[in-house]
Amino acid sequence: MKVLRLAALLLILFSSTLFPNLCFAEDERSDGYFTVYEEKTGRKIFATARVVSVGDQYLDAQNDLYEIVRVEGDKAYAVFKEKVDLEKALGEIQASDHQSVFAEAGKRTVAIYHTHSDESYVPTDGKASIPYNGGIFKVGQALKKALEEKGINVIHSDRSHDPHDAAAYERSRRTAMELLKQNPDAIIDVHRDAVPAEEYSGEVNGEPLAKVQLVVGRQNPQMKTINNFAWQIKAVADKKYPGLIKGIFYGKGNYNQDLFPRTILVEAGTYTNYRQSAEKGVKILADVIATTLYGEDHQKKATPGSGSTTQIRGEGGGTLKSILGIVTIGAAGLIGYLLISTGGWKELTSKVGRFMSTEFANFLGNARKGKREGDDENSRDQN
Amino acid sequence: MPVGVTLLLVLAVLIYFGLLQRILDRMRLSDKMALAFIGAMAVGTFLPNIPLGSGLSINIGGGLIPIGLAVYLIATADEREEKIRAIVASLLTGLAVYAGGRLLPSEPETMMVDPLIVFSIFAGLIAYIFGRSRRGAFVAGVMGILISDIIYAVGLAGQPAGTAIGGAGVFDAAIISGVIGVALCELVGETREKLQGGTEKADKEGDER
Repeated sequence: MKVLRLAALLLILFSSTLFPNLCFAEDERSDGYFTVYEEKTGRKIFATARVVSVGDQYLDAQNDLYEIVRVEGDKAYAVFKEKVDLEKALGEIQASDHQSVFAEAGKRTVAIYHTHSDESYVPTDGKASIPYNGGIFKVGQALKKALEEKGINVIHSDRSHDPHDAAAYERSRRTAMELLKQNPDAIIDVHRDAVPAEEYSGEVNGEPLAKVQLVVGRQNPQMKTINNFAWQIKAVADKKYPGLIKGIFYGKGNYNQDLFPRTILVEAGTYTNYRQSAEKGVKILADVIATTLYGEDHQKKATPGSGSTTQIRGEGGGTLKSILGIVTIGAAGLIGYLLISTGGWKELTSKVGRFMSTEFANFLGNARKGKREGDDENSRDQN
Repeated sequence: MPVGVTLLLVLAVLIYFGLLQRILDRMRLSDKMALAFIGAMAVGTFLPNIPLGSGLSINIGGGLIPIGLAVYLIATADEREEKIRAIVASLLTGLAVYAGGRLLPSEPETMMVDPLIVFSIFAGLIAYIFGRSRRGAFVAGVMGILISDIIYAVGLAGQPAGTAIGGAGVFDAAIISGVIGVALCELVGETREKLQGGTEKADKEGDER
């Protein structure tokens, strides 16, 4: 029996090493990246150092949504799904009255942290990865400064989450939670990508800079809400600073976005960009974030005592869908579990009936006592 | 925060706490004790972390209380063998989580499920194989993540990496691992029982409560 257990353990450890791209565990993926092409035309859509898999989606700068259908080596193929009308998708533009509900300027808070604290920019920092203190912190600093200039209080975590391995997000989860205790209106995880520089090279109002990409995790019950936040940021950026946001990548993973509805992962340029151009990009992003959270005229002094942020457009609908999703999955899971743990439907219903009558006996006791006869029938109907 | 979003958070938390309560309930803690532990974890999450030196600190709700609970569960285990198994399972889980952290790819999108869940399933499986009990699985899940944190902190991975043990409180990998460990125990145990033709109904009714 003991031998069997040991064999099982070895099997688990062995199978864990069979996950693809094992050798990338330690290093920055600067030696390879994925290029995604359109399935029919062969036209290049985007490149990313994030690992792409079938089912991932990408919303490009023109708001065309693609879904990846095939991955072969470093190449992936995607099909066009739809043109997303961000303004329409987010609902009617609300009257500016609505947007002028502000808190005192000092109460506005945004939190910034870096899961991959080693990420750096080769032309400026000399290396792609500087353990524990990458150039990415300076980009975070630039974002902080720009937000502070708009009267927003910024908490910038200087904690490193090295080594750059699979447990980095688990460690940064703790940082995110610590930041959340300080009640921020939004929380931003700033990264940089690892693709050739031209992928991120762009300009806004004639000024050259490194573009910004947003990343939304698909393995998250709150994905709809996070996606809405990402759409809102892009909609504001497209209007005020066209060219700033390269796109939104929807990847497998969670990126700690389950902790808070206004969380976003930002890729500020790529490792072959000059760090200064990434800093320029996030400085403009600061204005976009301020506008998204606090409305068009966020610079004005606010009326004291009112709510801290405006209702972000479309937030309600996304939330409702998420709630329904969670309830459905929760119920399906519960019924599935009960079906396995009991004999079958008949035993299940009688068990649930018995559970209801014992568990809620304290406060429903008297009411139920009178109709104990019909109990089982009732619970059977409900299920 | 808008009402809808608040509601979503409340709902997620309620479901999670409900699950947590059921899990603790399964370990011969009384209903009230289970609730008290959850309350303490929830409150402890929001208390400041206690510094332990060399970059390490510990969160009360996500570290101190679950560790205390794990120690209590080991101490009150019926047999000597069960105690030893729980401790061995904890050590193995710690090593496996650490090894997994180093070996698995660094970007979550490479894996079928998020690393957070992968580690928890790791912990749950090993805990189930060696712990052979719900208590063992919970202890190994919680202590396994803790042990892997300590391995990182003493610098086996290069430079020491400081972290807040259980820093994400009730939502930390430590507690999620414990919960998934027990859930796996339930699921695997019950499914196996089913395949074997099941036990007498009377037995199962016994552990329903």
